[in-house]
Amino acid sequence: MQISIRRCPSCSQKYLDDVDLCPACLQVTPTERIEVGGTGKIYSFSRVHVAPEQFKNIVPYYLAIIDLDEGPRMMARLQTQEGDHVRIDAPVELVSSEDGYLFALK
Amino acid sequence: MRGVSIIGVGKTKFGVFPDRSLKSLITEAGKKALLDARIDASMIQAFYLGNFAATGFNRQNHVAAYAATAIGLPNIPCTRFEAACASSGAALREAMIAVGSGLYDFILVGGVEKMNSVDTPRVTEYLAQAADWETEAKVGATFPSMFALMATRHMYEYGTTREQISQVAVKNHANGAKNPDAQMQKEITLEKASTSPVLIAEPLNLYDCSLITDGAAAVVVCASELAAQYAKTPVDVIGHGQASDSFCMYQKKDITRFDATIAAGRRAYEMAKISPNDVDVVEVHDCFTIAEIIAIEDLGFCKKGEGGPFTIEGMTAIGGKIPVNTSGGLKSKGHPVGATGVAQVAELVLQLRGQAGPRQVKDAEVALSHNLGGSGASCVVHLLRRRT
Repeated sequence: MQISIRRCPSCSQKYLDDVDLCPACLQVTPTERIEVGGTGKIYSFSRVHVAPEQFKNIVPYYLAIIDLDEGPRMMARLQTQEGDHVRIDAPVELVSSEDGYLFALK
Repeated sequence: MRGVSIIGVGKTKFGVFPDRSLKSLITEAGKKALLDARIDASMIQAFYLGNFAATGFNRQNHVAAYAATAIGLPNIPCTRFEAACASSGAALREAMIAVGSGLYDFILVGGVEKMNSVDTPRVTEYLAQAADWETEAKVGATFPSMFALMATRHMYEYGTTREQISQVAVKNHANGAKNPDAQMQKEITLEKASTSPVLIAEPLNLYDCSLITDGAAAVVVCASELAAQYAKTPVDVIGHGQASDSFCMYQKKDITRFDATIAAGRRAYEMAKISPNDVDVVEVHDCFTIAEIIAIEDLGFCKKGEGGPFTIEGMTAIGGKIPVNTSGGLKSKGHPVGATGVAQVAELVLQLRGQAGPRQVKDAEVALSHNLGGSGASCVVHLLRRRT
């Protein structure tokens, strides 16, 4: 599954989808939307047991920082199943971009 | 810039106070600071207040003027500072700059938060507003879970253990048990802290998290040349530093350190012309146990990655090489977000004056406070020295 991110046409720096103006450039440069592969590796993770209202019904869930293979670092939830071994450097792939990014172990 | 000193401190007890208002808390702390400084409210020329979220917690805005009226301050400039959990640390630093510039001789700096007026999910929601909504909170990140991510990575890179992290809580509870103003005055065992079944965000459990607290603190900042007229033991501000970092945790290259802490600390040490070895007592921002381990590394009290062993060997306990969080820290004293930065400095002033009772660090002369906002996007460091 592809993931939509942003790239600065001037300096080529990549950002998540919420960055519409490049912070690294001196000029006020609008970033452009590009699609990259939704694969990456886990940089760090936590299993969350106490969550705000909108996530209460899915606890415990895994939260992770993911280094996209072709893009920036990002935060996402992990969809896991029985027997999954969540660990640093484990390869993951995007499952859904709706209501916050969701990845699963590859 | 001329010299700046602290001549008065005041604080409320920290805890859960359903019968007390926001106004009542800051009034008590402010008036106590004026009494301690032995000056009249009419002498105060500006009032700076740190507060994070009275708009949410208490349905109150415009809180600096609101608090100034309650304290009985004259028609002076009153300004609120907001930098998440570093709100009153930032307010205090601006007061030091304003007095240092010569514009004012006396500023009252307060910090207040009354958090227990809404239920815990609401508290979590308001606190999460200090993180990025779009890319963190919306995904399911909470503050405990963001510090848990740091803990996971710190354990992975440096071999930091569960017990080493829990020792921060054990030590801070032991200190808090000696502080009559602390929210929790109860010692805990390493076994209880490290094996708690109440998981918040793994690897962090209940005993790794600071408290939801009502409380206020205040200090009187004064020109050093005038301080001896009011204070028996003036405490001189010898350095301060503030810094920012990437707003979002995932934007940091390395989440086992806080670049804002490193930069703020370096600026403060350079201004004071001292090194970490010269510091006798420290208050750091232990919103979560792992944050204290990272802070003592970032501030140079031990080498990078050695915060865990340093803690479990007792180096940061009272009587150790460098006592950290003698007040009990945010973990045991409590963490009324907007009050924390000033409350840390209030504790250090008591330490430097030799008024810290059973938790006194012997002959403390130089002290450092470290106040962190959000997941490290703001940091304020102060260095203080007892005048001899």
